[in-house]
Amino acid sequence: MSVIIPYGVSFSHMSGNILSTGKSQIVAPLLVLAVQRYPSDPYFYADVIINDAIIGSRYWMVKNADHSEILATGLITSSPQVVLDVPSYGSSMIILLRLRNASDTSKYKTYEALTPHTQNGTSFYCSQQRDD
Amino acid sequence: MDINWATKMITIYKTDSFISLISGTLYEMDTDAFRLLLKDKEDDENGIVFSDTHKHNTQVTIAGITYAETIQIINGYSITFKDGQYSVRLRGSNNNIFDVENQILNQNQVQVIPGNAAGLIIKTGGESNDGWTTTERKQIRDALGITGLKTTAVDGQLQTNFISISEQIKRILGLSQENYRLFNPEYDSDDNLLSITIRIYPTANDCINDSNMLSEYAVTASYVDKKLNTYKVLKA
Repeated sequence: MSVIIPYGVSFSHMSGNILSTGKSQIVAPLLVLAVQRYPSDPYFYADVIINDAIIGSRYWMVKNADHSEILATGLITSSPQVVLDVPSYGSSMIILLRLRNASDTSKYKTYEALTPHTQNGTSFYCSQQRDD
Repeated sequence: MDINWATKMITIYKTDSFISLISGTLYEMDTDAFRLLLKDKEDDENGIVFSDTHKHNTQVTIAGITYAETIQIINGYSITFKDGQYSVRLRGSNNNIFDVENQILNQNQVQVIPGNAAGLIIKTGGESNDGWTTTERKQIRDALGITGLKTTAVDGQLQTNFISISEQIKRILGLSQENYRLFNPEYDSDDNLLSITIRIYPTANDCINDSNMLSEYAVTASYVDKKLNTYKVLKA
């Protein structure tokens, strides 16, 4: 049986978290053939692991090129902290991670680091410094 | 204290926890407590999006002396004290919270009293190689009451007409008969000295060789009834 692939449809996005992408789907009866990607859609989603961050720190991840896309933000509750399904808006995109922790007795300097976001996932290893 | 993240304006109130009343209309601001509160707000959900409000270097002890911490408001943030007729003294750090010139402090009726104290400072730039601007040099000259031709520093002193004090000291030494020679003495019929030439030199060898003379003096004398009447020593 032959399958007709419409213009703009790619099989490369079928792997991974296909249902969490929010992409429109071309559906044959009972079968997903492909996912159509719009220009504003992420290229892919992958997990980011934040290692050695101080528990209670707030993290903020952004597309470093122009800070136009906030990728994830929240509190560090464990170490390592796994942030699921962080989108990438380019085949190669640099993530800026910012960590701050100054609400408790111990205060820390703002920690920032960069890393390329890859389809295999990305890790940060953090070394926050006290700012007492 | 409020931070307007959009306008980057930090507003401080007399009722803030880091402000304490000293007396009358004089308040004191604990700058370290202030910056800790800034940090606290920076790590909030709203604040983490924005750049740091300040830079902080903690106090350090070097050779038994503890140097104060520094706090520098950065990244375009500015500070406004809630307007009113009162004064705020800054305590606990060297900082730029009072800096109106660089748009850190938004000036109003509140008088902000800095407590910065400089020890060793590094000065770069300016309008000349020594790092001093023309305005700063004028202030120094005015403070010292320097006018006219006193323009050149030699041996750590401002000089007049470019004659250095070191040269004058050398002449004093010479006239104290250090490396000192006499030439061409002339006498009258009573063997009284009428004239003589004094030369002084920077070194003993120069004195021996009559070279590199520092100065020459003409000594003349006159007598009345065999007694000294006039005596002059004139620098050539």
